[in-house]
Amino acid sequence: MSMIGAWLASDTPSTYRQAVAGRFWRGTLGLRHQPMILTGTSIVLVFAVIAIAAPLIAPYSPTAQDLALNLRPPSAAHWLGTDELGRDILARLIWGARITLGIVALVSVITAPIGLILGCAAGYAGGWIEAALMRVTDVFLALPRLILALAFVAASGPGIENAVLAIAIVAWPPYARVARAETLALKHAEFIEAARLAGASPLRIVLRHILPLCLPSVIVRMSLDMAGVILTAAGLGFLGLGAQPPSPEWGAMIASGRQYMVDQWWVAAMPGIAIAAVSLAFNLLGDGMRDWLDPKQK
Amino acid sequence: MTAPLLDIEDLSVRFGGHEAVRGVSFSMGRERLGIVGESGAGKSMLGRAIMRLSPPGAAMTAKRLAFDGIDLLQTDMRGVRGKRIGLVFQDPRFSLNPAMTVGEQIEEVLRVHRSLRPRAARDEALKLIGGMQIRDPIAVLRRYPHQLSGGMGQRAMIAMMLAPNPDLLIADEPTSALDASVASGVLALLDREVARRGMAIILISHDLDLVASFCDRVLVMLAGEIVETLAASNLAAARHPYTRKLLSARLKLEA
Amino acid sequence: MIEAQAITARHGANAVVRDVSFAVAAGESFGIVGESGSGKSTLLRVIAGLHEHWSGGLVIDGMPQGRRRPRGFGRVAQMVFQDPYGSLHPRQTVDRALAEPLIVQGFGHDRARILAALDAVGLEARHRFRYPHQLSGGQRQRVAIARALMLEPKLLLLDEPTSALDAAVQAEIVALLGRLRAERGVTFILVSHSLAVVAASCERAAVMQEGLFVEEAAIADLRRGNLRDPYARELFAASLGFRRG
Repeated sequence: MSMIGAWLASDTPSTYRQAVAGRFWRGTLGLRHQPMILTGTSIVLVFAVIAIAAPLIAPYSPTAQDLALNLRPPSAAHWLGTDELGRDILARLIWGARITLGIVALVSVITAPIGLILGCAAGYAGGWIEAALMRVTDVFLALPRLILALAFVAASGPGIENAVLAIAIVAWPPYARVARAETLALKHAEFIEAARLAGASPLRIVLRHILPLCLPSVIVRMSLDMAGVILTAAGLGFLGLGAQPPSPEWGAMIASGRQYMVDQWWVAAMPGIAIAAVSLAFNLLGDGMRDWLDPKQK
Repeated sequence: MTAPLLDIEDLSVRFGGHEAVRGVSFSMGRERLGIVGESGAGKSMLGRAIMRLSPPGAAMTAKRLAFDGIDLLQTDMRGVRGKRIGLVFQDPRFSLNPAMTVGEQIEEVLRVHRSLRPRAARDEALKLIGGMQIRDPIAVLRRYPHQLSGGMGQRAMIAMMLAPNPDLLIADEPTSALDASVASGVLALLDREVARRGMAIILISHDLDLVASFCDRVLVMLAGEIVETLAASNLAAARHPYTRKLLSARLKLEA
Repeated sequence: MIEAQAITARHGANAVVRDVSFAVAAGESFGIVGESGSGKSTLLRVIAGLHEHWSGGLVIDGMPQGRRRPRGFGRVAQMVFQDPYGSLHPRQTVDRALAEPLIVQGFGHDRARILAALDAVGLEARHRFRYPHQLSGGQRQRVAIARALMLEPKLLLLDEPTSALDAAVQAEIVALLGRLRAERGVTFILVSHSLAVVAASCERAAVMQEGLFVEEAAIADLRRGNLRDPYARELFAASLGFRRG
């Protein structure tokens, strides 16, 4: 163990692998002093494990109805109670984690690379390419997110795939903005000029030299945005435009529970708490990451 | 022998997990003292520690830190800092207040430290800046720091620091950001004011030649410690290998 | 090696280099001295192809140069920048920095050439996988010099290569540059605000003021202050250092 530690902490790495592993190791050590990141990551990880292990830990099927047992308060048999069709709310929340985290993951996988590449390309190219790309992002930024997503889903039909696409379409412009701003600052750095002098093509400079340096800001922005993504997904579900019944999406669960709010509060409150917890976790993670990764904050 | 103006014993500054200044002791009278060393040697940290100005997170300890008989470890620094000890930084554009004109800043110093009335402060500010070998002093007083050239800004900074008639001026790389032709003018000005006012000066620089020609005595700093003290007139007597290296590394213009 | 005819370069509407002509022979070391704002760095960047707003005639290694340089230009001329903290990519190891010019010019990631380059600038193999933040200022500048030499250029453009370094390190880098030039016969154009650095590294130098070459002199004359132009003489006097009044 101590040998591995010494290998990682070495100030004189002898291979590329060791240099990269060492940098990663020092970064991980630095995390010890970041309570916000640790808390946020722990909560997200708990939900991720729940989502992955859903078939193993869910006490009931998320869609099994038992009308004789509908709208029961939390009890030993149903820890979080049952909904209007007698389905176990805990089981639905556990399966719902898959949907929510799945949406978050899909949206980030789609939006971050698009925003990053467009932003870097616009910033580095300058001139009319930059003007054109940035006006397009301005158009997307000018419209309220939920409204734009609503319009897209309304046009393309409700459903979880369309919800993901809709959120992705409204979520990429901020990444492009962030990446462009970073690129503008880096464009005239001497190490970029050195790469130009070596004869590197603009594409190579953007992809290999500039993009890796924009990543931290985009990751920070992404973790801060994830809470928003979850809320937008829940909002679409709530309005009946996202996941369709009987799928246990948290937003849709709140929507169907709202008619029983006064007498059977747990039907709407339990998914509400779940949404709040995951959003909070991502927010903590994002704030912590910003403090940790963003050099301008130091 | 009279008591020294500044007396330091075993001063250390811990910053960011290592000792930036390690057990430094020296004392000085009304003289010109140079501190030379490369970046990271702790010379700027030492200059600030004398003013009890250390960056956040830095911890300073000393057995003794006395200025003109005042124990700086105990006293309220407001009566000393800026009034009896002045500090000139490398780049005046960062150390002057960007939101006030040069005139307003000098007048404020005069009102606070010398209790001058506004009218008198304005006259005195003009007199001070007029003594800085500036072509159009009134115009300079009306400008904001970002509107000044490097040399002009440094002259304004010096005028401001001299306003309360300090006994000691700490100049931290006062000319490193300036072009050679401008730097020599600023140095000549500093030289004249120090001689005229009979005050002490600590000149901090990485430039051994500059320090040796301006000062009477030179302290050589390496990794937070004073490794050698030399008379400026006798640099050739240096024994420490680091000082010898500095001496041999000088690029001389004259063949 | 290089012939510049009436070069004028602009930053916006400002002409920062005005009608400058000079020629440097192959293997020669030519210095350009000037204070901040004199246009000396812009002139160097015009030669490197990093500044596009210029007019005039420029012939490098027998090839007339336009605003855009062909990809192979990297094998003709390279540049060393002033700030060793800003001229290396913060997330790339020394190995990556040195491999980049080779890969771009189609030589591949040549381990032997990287080790040889490190050795030539006085660094060891153990420095190869370090990141810039793990190196001192002098070591970084050595890496930057090694990178500039990777493609074995005929012309090396040096923009204040020692100004950001401590006095002792500055002398080491000046010595290193002198040795590399003697070994490889590279042509130097060195820009500096310091007459002493230029005198130590060059054979001939021009003094630049407000975009103009006000004086061109051999280094022996420069050292003696044997200069015609009043500004050049003023600069010489100031460079002798401070004298107590």
